[in-house]
Amino acid sequence: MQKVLTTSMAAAALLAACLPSVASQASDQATADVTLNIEKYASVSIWSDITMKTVTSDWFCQSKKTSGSSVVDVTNNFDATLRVVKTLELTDGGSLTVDVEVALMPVNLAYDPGEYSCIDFDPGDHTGETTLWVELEKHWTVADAAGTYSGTVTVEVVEALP
Amino acid sequence: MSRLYVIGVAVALLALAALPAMAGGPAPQTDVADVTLTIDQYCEIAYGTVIAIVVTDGGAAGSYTSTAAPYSASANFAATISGVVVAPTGAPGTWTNSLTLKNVGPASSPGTGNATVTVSGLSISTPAASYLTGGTLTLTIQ
Repeated sequence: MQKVLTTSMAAAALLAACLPSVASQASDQATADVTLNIEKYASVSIWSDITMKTVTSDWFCQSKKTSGSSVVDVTNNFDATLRVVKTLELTDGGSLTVDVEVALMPVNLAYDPGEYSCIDFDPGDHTGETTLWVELEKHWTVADAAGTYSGTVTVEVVEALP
Repeated sequence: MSRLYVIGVAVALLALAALPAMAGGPAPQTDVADVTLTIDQYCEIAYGTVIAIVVTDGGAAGSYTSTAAPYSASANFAATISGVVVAPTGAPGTWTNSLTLKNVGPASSPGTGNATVTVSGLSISTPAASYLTGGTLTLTIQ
């Protein structure tokens, strides 16, 4: 009995000796700043070239429209605007030129149509949502020499105005 | 001191160079489409005058030419006008035509010209008669 008591007392003493160290165990924390920077990105792609053609016998000496179009894909991760220069000049490589109206569809009435044809896009993939539309309306005469006239139209994606 | 000054100026210049890009956001992304317009060839020619040749007073041997028959022609390309005359049915002689304004194009059209018909090889021994059908002058522009 005496031995058992002695053992228990020793164990209690050991436990008591351990307790202060548990209660005062040191701790520490370190914090690192974590940041994510997603850069602004946009891409634009016109699906195809645009061709227009007159129909001779029915068109000459009359005012008629001819037009062509292509789908435009836009992908952007910021509020962006797709715009196109309004006036397109076609030339036969010489001195003859024809002015052509250019527009984006659907029409965005928020913009002044006098300068740009524009469409706003929220961030996202806007594949196939827009059509680049080229239209020429004029009174066709024999002064419009037969041949092929060519030019280019450029679209660009820029940051939307606030 | 001088070295520090130079470094400071260089840093400032670098910062200035970076400013426009930062202020303007990302560079515009662009794409270009070729646009072509094809204008077909077009031309027209018209005249509606009856071309008559009358030999009076028995005539003399030689050629007889009609009065000038005006026509108008236009084309949006460099076109050529040609004519083919067919003599009236049973008519004697050799029949030819002549044209003015044989070339027409965007720079000169619409234009007008004259066509005449000539019959040659007639003589006093050619019997008097009227040949009123089957004669044509066809102008072609191409």
